[in-house]
Amino acid sequence: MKNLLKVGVVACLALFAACTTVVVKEAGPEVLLPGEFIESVDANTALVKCTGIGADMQQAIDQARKGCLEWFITNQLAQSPAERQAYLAQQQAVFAKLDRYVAIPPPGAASGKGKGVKSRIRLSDERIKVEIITDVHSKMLQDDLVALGIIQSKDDMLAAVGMPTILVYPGKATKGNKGRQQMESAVTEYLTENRWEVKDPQGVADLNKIIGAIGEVTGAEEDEAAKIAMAVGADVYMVFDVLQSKGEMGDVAYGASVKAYETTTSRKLGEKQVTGPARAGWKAGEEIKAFIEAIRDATAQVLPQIMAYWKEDAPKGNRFTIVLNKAPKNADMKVSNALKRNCAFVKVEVSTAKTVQLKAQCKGDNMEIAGALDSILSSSFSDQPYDFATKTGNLLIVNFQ
Amino acid sequence: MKLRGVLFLLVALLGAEVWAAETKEEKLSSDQTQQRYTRKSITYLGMWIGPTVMRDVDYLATAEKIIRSKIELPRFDYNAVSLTESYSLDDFVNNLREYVKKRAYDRAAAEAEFEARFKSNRVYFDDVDRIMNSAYLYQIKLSLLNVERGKCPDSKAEALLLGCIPGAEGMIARVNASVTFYQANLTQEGAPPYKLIKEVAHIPTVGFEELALEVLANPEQLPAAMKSAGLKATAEATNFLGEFLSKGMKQIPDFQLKTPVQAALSDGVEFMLGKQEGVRMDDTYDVAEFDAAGDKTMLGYVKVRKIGDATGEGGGNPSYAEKVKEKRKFVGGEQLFEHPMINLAVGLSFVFEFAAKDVLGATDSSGSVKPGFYPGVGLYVDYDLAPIINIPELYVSVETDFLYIPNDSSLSVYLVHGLFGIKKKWYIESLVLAAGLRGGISYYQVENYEDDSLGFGADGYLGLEYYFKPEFSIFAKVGGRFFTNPLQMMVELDPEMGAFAQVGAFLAF
Repeated sequence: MKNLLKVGVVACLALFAACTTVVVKEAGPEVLLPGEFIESVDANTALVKCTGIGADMQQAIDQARKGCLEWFITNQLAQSPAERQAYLAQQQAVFAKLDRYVAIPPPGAASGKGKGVKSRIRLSDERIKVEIITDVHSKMLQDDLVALGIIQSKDDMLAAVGMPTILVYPGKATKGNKGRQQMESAVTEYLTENRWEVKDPQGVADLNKIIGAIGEVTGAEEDEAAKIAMAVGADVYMVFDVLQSKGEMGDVAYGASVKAYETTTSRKLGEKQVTGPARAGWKAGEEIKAFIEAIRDATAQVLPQIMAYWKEDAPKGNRFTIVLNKAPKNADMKVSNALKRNCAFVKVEVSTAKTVQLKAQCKGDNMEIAGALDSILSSSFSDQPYDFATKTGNLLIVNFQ
Repeated sequence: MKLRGVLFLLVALLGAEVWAAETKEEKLSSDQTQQRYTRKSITYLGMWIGPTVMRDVDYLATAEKIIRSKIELPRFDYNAVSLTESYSLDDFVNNLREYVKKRAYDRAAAEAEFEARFKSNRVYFDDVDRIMNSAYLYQIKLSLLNVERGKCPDSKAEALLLGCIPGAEGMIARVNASVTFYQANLTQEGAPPYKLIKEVAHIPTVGFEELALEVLANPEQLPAAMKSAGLKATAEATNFLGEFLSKGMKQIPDFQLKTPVQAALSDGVEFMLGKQEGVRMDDTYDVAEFDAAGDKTMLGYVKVRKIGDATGEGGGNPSYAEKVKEKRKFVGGEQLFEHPMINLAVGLSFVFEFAAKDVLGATDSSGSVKPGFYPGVGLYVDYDLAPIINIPELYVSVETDFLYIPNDSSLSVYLVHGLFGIKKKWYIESLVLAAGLRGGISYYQVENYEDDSLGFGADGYLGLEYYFKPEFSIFAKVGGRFFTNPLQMMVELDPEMGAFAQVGAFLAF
């Protein structure tokens, strides 16, 4: 009887506990399906494809739009881990203004192309999955993310570390192309629309002389572009190539590839290949549209990769290439050791009887580093006359007599 | 050997990777769950006339004109290529190639196909290719056209379907034709110039046009009257045939209207097709959806109630269709497929009539006329006027019923009604309320003898229908009826006055 009583009491307690247990579910950020870049419509608008799941069409479309927004933020704007964390912490505040950033997909064209709902599949009795293509408006989004403290503004970054300067250069396969100028303009136009500073090699006097003075660029996949980028003082250089494909019916398609390199190290920062749709080649102007569309789309997808690198790397200082021609004995060691006092990173790339080439990352502009170098050289090699052949951008060339 | 195998595998995997990669155009496109009708261009190749067909130009022209009007619907564009400039079908297709190539880019691609975009230049070769290959050709094959003088069939059912009075003299036309659709090959010059899509055919149809009695009595007027009536009978038969040919054409997947549901409302759906594609009031659409395996599930049916001016390119106002069958709740984004119908329904029912006083004057034991209770059957034909007058669910209805009148004699007596009227329906999903008003004649049939005396009257009713599918519904209705007694002129009898009930089913086409 006593045991029965005990069992009864335990059962009652268990029942009471079960009924009164409150499960506190922590509200974390929503988990959304990833998006996919489709096209860069203009500097302010990207066409993005995304997927959403919901009980009905409206709910699924809204989830997809949130997916578009999140994909755009995490892939195009908030590239650093800290920024992504900041975004996730304020995800709901950003989603509250979803309509400001992501368009509601329109009914769509009869052809089934372009913006609109692309697919709708029933997953279960309660859930459908939709795929949409819609516009993400980057300008307003970027401003609001800055206001929320999720990302740093471009202007702030410019003030802190400066924006990278870019050189645009055709690849080997495209150099002789008759449309080279239009292709180059397409990339340059896209960059300037997005407020990037583009370097023009035409404006640099004695360009060939400077390139000759640089000598060989170690490890550079695109040697010529790398030298010109150094000569014009570009932080990054972009090399583009296009490949034409013609069909039997006069249709023409272009594939475009854009690669971006960090100038001083020749490190590849990003690469994207895009195949544009075929166009009616017999119609005037269509071929130009075909390659411009491909090249713009490729450029648009490489830029976030450059930006991610730049945000991470720029605070460490500017990167310089230092070339010493006809350098005295042990110049490599002496200059390298001395520069380490001013720079975060110094590396001797080439050291021959004729040339010493160093890479360095230092806080300070080209004139400050040139001044520091001048002090090192004048104290270490007082008996060897020298002069600075160039001090432009990130390139310092010293010629010993 | 092993190395070769590994290399082969590697190449195959790389190849698969390359092939698996989506092109930009594929990324931009919708899949089968979001199919949309795209405008097609169509060219008429002329009419082939069978060897036994009567060679009267007027009759042939009437048949051709009517069939063309049933095929050349607003959903098509017409290629302005003159057949007279071509010597052969190959020449014709070459002319068409040039024409469509030019037009595909300059007009259709730029104006009809694409929504206003940020990039106004998103016209790809695949679009041009598709537009060029949307060039369809069709030919009419007239295998039967026979017009002769004759009588309206004695069978009441046949007479009802022909809309004539049994035994009346007139012109009877019999018509049969098929329509063959081809798709022109405008892009591959080495390949055959066209391919067969489908031949749409139907059984022969009959039309009857009565000759007026005064004409029959005047032989001079007869030839002209016969020609006129013959043409009307031909038009009637061809119209009926044309409806079925048109229905068959709309069932061809290339020509079927289809679009995703734009918005699911509590009582219906909105969709982006409209006047431009020739959407009509009361048109039926299947509602379907796809699962992850790509299997299609039917969810129900909707009927068009408001026709918008949506252009199919995403602009304009949507059309609205009311739910009439919902097996699973519509949540938006479902696929609508046109369910072509010819708007004709044929119903059969059991009829039970209660007359306040027996129509043959049967009395009870007290000598007063007792009430009558008459069982019978009814046959009716409804034609939906909505596509013509743009008022939803308004029908013109023709009905005949045969009521058995119990009597003391050994003869079987029937009271026959011929009714003509209108019917209006209201849908509450699959449950349909109906109301109708009709007027008509009545007469007695004793065994096989039909009495000449006619009664006149009208009835009205309220009904309930249950919609199982577009082709089949069941119904029940109750109403009140007043008819003069056909025998009233000869003997003193009470008029037919009472209530009736009907239970039956109908087939819609």
